[in-house]
Amino acid sequence: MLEPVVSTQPAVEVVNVSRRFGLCAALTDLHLKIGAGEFLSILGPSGCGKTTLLRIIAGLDLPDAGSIHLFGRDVTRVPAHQRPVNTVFQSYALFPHLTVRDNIAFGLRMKKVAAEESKRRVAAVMETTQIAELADRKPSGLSGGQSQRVALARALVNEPKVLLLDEPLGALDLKLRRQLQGELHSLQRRLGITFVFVTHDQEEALALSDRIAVMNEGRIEQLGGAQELYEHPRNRFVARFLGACNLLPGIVRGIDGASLIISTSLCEIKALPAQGVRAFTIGNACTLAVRPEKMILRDAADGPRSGELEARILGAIYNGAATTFELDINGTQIHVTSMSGVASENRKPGRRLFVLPPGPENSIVLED
Amino acid sequence: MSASDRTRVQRGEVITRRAELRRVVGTVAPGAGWLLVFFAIPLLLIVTVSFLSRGQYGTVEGPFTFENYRRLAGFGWLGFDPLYPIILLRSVTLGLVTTALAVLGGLPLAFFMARVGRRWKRIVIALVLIPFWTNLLVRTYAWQILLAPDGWLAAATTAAGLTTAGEALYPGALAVYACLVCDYLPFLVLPLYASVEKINWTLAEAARDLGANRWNVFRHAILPQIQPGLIAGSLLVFLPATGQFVIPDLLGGAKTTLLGNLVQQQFGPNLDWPFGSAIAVVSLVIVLVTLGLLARQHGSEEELA
Repeated sequence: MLEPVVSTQPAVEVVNVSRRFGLCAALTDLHLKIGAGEFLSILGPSGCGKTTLLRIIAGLDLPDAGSIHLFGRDVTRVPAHQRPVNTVFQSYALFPHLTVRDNIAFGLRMKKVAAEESKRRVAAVMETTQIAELADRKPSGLSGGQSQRVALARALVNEPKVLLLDEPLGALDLKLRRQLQGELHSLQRRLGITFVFVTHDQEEALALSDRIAVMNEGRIEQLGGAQELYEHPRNRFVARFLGACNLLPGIVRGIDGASLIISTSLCEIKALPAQGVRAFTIGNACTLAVRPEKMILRDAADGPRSGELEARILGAIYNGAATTFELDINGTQIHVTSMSGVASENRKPGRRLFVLPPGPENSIVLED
Repeated sequence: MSASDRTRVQRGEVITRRAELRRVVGTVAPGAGWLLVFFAIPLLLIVTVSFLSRGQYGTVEGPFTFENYRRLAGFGWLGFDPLYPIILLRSVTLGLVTTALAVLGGLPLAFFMARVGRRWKRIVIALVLIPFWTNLLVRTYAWQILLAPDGWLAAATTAAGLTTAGEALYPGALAVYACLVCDYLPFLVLPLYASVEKINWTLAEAARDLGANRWNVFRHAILPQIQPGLIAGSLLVFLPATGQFVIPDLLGGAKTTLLGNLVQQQFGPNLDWPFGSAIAVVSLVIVLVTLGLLARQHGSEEELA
């Protein structure tokens, strides 16, 4: 395994970048620093500007304002073919008239790399991406997964300092996607190349990345590690986009050290405020974010224990590993996920269950 | 129940074998019949005549002979004379140069047509098609007027010091090619435009991303995509331009003989139908061989793809 690249300089620095298409702002005053050797995912719904950001880093689009730096060098005006980055396109964009081998060798041919070396590097990268046996095929004879590997190999053979991936697994079926995710992950670790990975699949982002930038409407809503984003979302958008989340309107009733006492339509809940939001004072309206799996469910055989709330089942979705219940508690609807604890005959709508509200470490107070 | 009465479903329609056969015959027969009577049989006659001899008064007589082809290849009564091969070569050159010029002019035009907005597109296509609405001879005589000694073009070139006053801009090669390219450009531009419209520009971005400069992006990412349209369009220019003789006569001064003139002479003044037929057969073979080669190259690419 390679030593991680130690560098104080970020691999990619996006400074104050804005980009408009007509009246529509794709990116608004965006800042982003990506460390060398990092696997960074840009996560967001379609149309949030994530692909625009990637294209600007690649040099396939020009920002209206701001600049792009690669390893400290301003490349804003450097054309795409002179930047030390390569892109894996969403549609793969393989050259249909060239064989797999010639597709992969294309970048080296453009840079006039000697034939011997080119041959060696192409063979090596085909070995790495496990496509050696496809060398003489044309792209039209490849499956989706194979095309994806070829696109990856075609970019990697150039030994880019930064690899940009635009929803590279978006067109593949779930099982293949999971497999390739694993391969991408270990490949990135092994090669030590900076990966910038655009996706709208939150599970993919959580599984692969060192850090995730959650984007919405041309801005980065939050940047952080997977666990940080999941457990400490900074606002309603992040809480809801990353995993499922109950968002309950509430009012600050009291302050107890670092935590706040929030009254909601369920009950009073003690919770910690999200990081980086303004200080709350008593009487403020707020939103309480609670993950469905952070509450404990129990069958209603023996009546409520202390602190438990009585709930009525509205519906249940069984997905194998867990069951997610849609519950009604005093007229408030929430989702609670349970790994076990509820017998299958008690999952029917109308049955009663008991819910233990979350503790302060499992609920977060967000700005309204 | 016989096999031919068996029904099957084709494109959502239930149909019997017999009904399907009837339908195929019904659609193919009129066109096939037309081609047989007015194309296949006459062609067969031409091929046959090309192996016969000219009688004393221009009649077509036996015996069977290769003499016409020998003559065309340059072996006459007076030993080897490359006159006919030169005419052949001259015509092919005319066709090639016209095609090359049309490609040079047509490529940017096709890209322009593909890029302009929907409303302008219709206007531009109409402009490209306008020459078709006028008779070829009328257009060619129009060029004579345009290039006449008292025309504004001649005045302009005189002012620029390229010609002397009172001198016409025709006859000459320039006038011939100007007219040929104008006449045949639409044949090239339309199929080319259809290809350009369908270009997948992500491939150009991918090439750029992989380090290709402008020329290499065009060469490796764009050109392969428009190749079918370019080949089809080039053939549509090359074939008629090679057989063209009216325009070279009217604007080139009728000083040189081309394939077209040669054939016309044999069937007209010379009354030598067998020799005329041999010329027609040879030029047809040249065209078919060229098409075959192109198709094979294209086909082998498709096959791999």
